[in-house]
Amino acid sequence: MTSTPQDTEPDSVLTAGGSAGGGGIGTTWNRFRHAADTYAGVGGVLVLLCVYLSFTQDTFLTWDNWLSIFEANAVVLVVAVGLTFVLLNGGIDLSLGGIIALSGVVMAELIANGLSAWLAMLAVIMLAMMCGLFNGLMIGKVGLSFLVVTLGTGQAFRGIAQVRTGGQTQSLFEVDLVKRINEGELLGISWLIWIAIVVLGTGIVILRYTGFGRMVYACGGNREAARLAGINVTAVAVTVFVIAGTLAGLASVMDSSRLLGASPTAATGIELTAAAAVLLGGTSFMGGRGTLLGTLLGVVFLGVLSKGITLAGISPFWYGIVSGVVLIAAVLLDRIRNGKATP
Amino acid sequence: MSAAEPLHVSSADEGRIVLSVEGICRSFGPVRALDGVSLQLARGEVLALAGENGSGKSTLAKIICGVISADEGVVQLDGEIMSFSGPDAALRAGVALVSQEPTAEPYMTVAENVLLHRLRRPWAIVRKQHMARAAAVYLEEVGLDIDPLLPLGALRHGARELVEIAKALATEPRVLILDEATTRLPDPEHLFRVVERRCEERGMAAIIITHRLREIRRLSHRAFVLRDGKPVGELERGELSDERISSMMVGRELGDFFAKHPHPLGEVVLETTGLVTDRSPNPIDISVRSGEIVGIAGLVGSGRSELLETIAGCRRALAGTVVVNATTLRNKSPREAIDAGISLVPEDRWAQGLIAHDLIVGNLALSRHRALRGTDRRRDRRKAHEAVADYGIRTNSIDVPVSNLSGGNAQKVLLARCFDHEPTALLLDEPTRGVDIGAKAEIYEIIDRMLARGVGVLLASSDLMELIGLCDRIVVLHEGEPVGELARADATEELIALLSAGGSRP
Repeated sequence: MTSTPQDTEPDSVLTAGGSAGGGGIGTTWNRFRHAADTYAGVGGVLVLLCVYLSFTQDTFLTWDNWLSIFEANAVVLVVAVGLTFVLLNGGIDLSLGGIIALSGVVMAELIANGLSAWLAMLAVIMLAMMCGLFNGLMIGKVGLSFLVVTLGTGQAFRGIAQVRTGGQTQSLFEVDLVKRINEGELLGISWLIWIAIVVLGTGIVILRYTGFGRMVYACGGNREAARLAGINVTAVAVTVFVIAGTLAGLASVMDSSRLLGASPTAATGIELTAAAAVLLGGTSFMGGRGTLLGTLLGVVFLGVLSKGITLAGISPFWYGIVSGVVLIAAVLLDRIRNGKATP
Repeated sequence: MSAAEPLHVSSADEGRIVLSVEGICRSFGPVRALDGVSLQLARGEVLALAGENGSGKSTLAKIICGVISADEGVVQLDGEIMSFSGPDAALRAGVALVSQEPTAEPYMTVAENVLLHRLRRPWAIVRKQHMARAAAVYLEEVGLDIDPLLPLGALRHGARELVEIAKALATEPRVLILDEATTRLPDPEHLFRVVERRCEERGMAAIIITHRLREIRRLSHRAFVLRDGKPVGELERGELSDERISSMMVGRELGDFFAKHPHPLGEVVLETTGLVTDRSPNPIDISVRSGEIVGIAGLVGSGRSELLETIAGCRRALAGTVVVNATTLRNKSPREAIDAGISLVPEDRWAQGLIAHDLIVGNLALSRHRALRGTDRRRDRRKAHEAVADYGIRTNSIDVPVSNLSGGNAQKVLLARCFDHEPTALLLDEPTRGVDIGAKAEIYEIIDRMLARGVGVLLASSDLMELIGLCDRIVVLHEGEPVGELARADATEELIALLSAGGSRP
């Protein structure tokens, strides 16, 4: 045995917080503090915005108003969930708008050719998945830059949609299933919102409670550490793009149903709106840090902001200015907090 | 088997070979990092891997752990030949590495960091409380009493390094490799006790790589010495003295290809007073005279490069002044230092010095650009031709990318560029690293020519032969502090190695 007289443990511990010892209330509080940190930025601004709007606009605090905010942003939320996976892994996907446009147009085409709407929807989700797989292989396997690949594929996908339609919007007004998704409700809440809730919930479970979810965090936080721990970092990188692509396909079905038509110019710039929401929600652009609850907060903030501007009768052009300033402020706040945290 | 119940090694197991490495060779480009290395490790044994910087210690560790592959040779674990396809396979086989670079996931919890290697199946459900309990066992083993569910980033330095150790122990390794794991620990002794306990109670074998000779003596049963990628011998526990180890690590004869001629010393051209860098706790005073060459010796991490970079204005000095030709530097920007007459030849010529895809002529003109002035293509080309002739850069055109040149010729381009504005103080950081012997001699000649022109040179190098062959004086750094200054006549490789490793002068 190694027990020697001087074997008493040196008390040189240990956490930056100081009080974080073994257990008890201190433990819970410390964990809570670290978790709350993530949402402080956008959460605070969102609360302020909501308080202001509820005092100035009578209709703001109504159930219908909130339903309409969520319905209008269900598509963005689904895209943002997929994008959160990509950003957590340390990348970004600029092709999501293109994938949505292509999927919508192909779906309309398939339905026009007599395929049942169910199958057409399933087929375009598969197609979107393949688009994501292509991105993922080019980035994760071949090792090209995610910016270049997704910028290129995004333009190409939208280009294909334009070529196939000659730039025309394809009407889906006659399609029964599309109309049902558009109008259908369950417990007074529209199908679009339900779909978004299910996607968000599934995403949260995957990221928090499955091995794959933790791998995404590990790869984004420190790729080399993840590799040395035996994680297949290539497979994880490919998979996050597949997830983002697949959810873009689903978002396309939702968007086409909402608008009762598929246009090659649909969802232009949606990936940037979604990215803004994800970043507002505290996800790091460098990867490894962030949550889907934060993403939800980000989407809700943008939705409330847009709605508030409409309600208040302010020129909608202000939306860009405010959301841009808040985004920079949120990231700046994050930087200041991190600057303090690491000595 | 839980970690709580120690399994005592039966006497039959004692001395059984766990790890056997045979004829390992590995090259990086033209550099032979390992050349026919064989070693054996018995159950419960602690082996120290000793050698100078660049002798191949870390490369060997990485090969054993499957992080990189060997060109030739086999690694056997318990008599079974391993062909590690990656870190994953090595971890499964029971080889764990605590590497020189921290592999922390700052945003994940401590528990997840400790058990990161268990994240194998993507579809498996992760239970936080369960993980926290499993990780607590290993945290306790390394003596950390913290909440495993805190993010790692919330821990202090020192505690984070212990988490790295816990992470390696959590893989229940048969062979644990510690590559400079103690350099960032506040209390290495504590770690040694942890390792010893594992070795004695559970028959784990360990390989430690450390520059601190004291630690080799303290922990290891045997030392295996590498030099330039080749094994030079082994020392048993009884033979482990600082002098024996360091002379085996160095053990070369001084070549006579140093072109150094004595130059008349002039005025002081560079002087630091009370300079505190972010790496050195204590102020450093160094002065260099015209025509003089002062060496900076020290191990990796001893703050050599940081010192040079601080003088050159690339890093902020925490305190103290730098005086060049009687001008005190003020805002400490690289521009100011260059204008005052300082030139730094950085350590990593590709990452910090040259623009690899740019042409020779472009690289040479780099420090001539001024934002609001036009370029002078004619002059740039003329100067590039002159430099190629002057510095003996072997190329058939000045219009080829520097990435096409060999290491030695690329280094000459960098030297030519750094000498372009005729500095009075030249800071050289590892000027001959990765350069073949012929180019080395040429670079020494270039340095000598600069000295003859009255330049004062500060030379940081891990090549002790080079320091002794070239320098008038050598300042030795240990963990950021100057621990000794040796005159040319007193300097021996053994003495420098001893001082750099924290030993005291005999």
